[in-house]
Amino acid sequence: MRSKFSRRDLFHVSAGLGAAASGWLPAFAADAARNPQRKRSVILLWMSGGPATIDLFDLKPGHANGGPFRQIESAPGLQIGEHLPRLAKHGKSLAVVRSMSTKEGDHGRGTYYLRTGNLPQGAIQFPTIGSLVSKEIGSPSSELPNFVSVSPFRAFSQGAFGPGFLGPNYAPLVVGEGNFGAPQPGQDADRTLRVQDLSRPGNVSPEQAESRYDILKEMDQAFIAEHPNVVAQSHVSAYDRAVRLMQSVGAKAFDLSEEPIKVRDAYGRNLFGQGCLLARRLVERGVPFIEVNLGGWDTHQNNFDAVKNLCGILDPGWGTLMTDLESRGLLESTTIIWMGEFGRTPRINQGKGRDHFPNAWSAVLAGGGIKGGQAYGKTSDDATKVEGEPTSVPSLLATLCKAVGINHEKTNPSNVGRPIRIVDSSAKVIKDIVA
Amino acid sequence: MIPELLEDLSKAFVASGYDLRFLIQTITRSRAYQLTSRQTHESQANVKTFARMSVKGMTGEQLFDSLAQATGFQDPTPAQQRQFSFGVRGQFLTKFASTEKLTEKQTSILQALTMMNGSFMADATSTDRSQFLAGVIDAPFLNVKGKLEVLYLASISRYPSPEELAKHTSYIDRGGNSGDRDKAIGDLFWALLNSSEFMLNH
Repeated sequence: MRSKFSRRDLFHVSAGLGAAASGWLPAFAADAARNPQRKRSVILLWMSGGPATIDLFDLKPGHANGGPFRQIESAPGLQIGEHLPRLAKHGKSLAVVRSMSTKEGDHGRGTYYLRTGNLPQGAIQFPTIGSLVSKEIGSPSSELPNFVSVSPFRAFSQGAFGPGFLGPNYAPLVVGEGNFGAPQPGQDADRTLRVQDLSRPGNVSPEQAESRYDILKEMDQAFIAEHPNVVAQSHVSAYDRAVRLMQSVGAKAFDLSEEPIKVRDAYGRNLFGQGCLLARRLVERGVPFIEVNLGGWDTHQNNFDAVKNLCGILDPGWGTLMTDLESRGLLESTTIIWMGEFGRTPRINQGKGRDHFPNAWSAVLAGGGIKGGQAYGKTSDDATKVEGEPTSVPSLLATLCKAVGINHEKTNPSNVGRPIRIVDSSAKVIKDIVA
Repeated sequence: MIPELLEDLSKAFVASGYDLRFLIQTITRSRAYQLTSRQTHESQANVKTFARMSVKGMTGEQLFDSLAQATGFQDPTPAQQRQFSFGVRGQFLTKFASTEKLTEKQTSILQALTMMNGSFMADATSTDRSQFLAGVIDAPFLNVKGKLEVLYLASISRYPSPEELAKHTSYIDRGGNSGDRDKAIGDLFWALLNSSEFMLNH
């Protein structure tokens, strides 16, 4: 039973499906910005490995800890690193939180903490922030998934990337798998960021697909009635969402070849840059939460070369994303959060590197609901301490919720039998940066 | 875990002279081990009370090997390459690898898409590319009931119930939605391989 049919057979059917479906599906491609009912979206730019924020958003020129980079003005009173020139142009939309402080200097624990708002605790399976937010602002009946995760690198902490106790309905659609290191230029991002096996095999007609799916549904209903269970529910839910995605006109979002070459080049021809472009296309179609991963920040050696190189990927991707969202009128309703699991040591080690440093570092909020053009909080001249009140992880995530219009004190039922808040009650919203 | 039971089991294991065979026999002959996964009363809903077996997912390897067995798949990849991520099995495993506990295993949208539309399943359920399916369809000694039984036994290791038999026989007789009896048999095989009953350990 060697395969005789061609790739062409596999792919060409999706067009027909879209046309057949267009009669009963709302026009996803309609200008989302004009819709007054439009909900907000969030884009998480996740910097796996722990970025040296001292070289990006809180520079210490003139100090021995400062390193060789200079600052550039991004907005009046807001200076950022010289290797982020495109992003710097959007200073009026950026709020840099310079007072982040945690106790977690381990990749796994830090990743879990920043991405769930909680430290690992026994049996509780805390959901990742994308699942929490998309549950609140997404629509359960949408054809496109409410949470898309672009090239995540999950090895540091598997649990930090899943829906936890919210269950399989809130799991992300994952496209592409990220690496520990930085993405290489010219990687085959088109193929990687596509949803694989989205179309029916060419020899199966739409009617046949429908009728055999009906048989499957009946079988599964009978099974689950006798075997009620979370694993079986997850199976049924995944098939249901997969079929909705297949029927969705919006799934064209994953076809980046629709974009002009100039636009694609501007984002950067690598997995992160094209991931940012995909994020914009998904926001246009109303997807409420998208995360894009950029790895390679674990710069124990040759920090400055590595950070400069990574900025060459980060800056075009993020900068162009800001420009694009703004020109489409989507920046007001799209909140961007940039963070990693911790910062890096102010002291430069013998290998010209910087090591893990959770005590004092920066995260960035931008766009919708955020009062930009400012730095919030302050670190000491040597960058080793937060001066004034430090910002906790729950406070950062609660501020994100506030900007998006979510009550972060709302609770969800959990797997340990007690309700758990979206963000821990210790959180204090940073009012100064919420618009 | 019940501490008293663990204590008793430990003592018996020591008394047996640390006989592993004895230990495995004792555990597997216990009522708790042999419980069905079927829920017959609401009180069995809480998994912590162990009133029934938990439905489990399969590892990617278990799932692929089950599929291979059910569909009569023979891997054309040279044996010495199969341990690396080459070949049909390796490709399949890249999507189904998982570190979750099998009792908490979640199915992803991408896995569902691969099972519904992927090339392996397309081949296995195609009436002209699957030797197994073609054999079932062409077998002159099997009536529709016999063909259905073969598909059920190959995939979920049981005979169809009278209701299933009646429903599916009528589906095949009218040729499903395509008016093609062979394709309708393929549809049933496709549904069986995609079903919770096949894909989960119960």
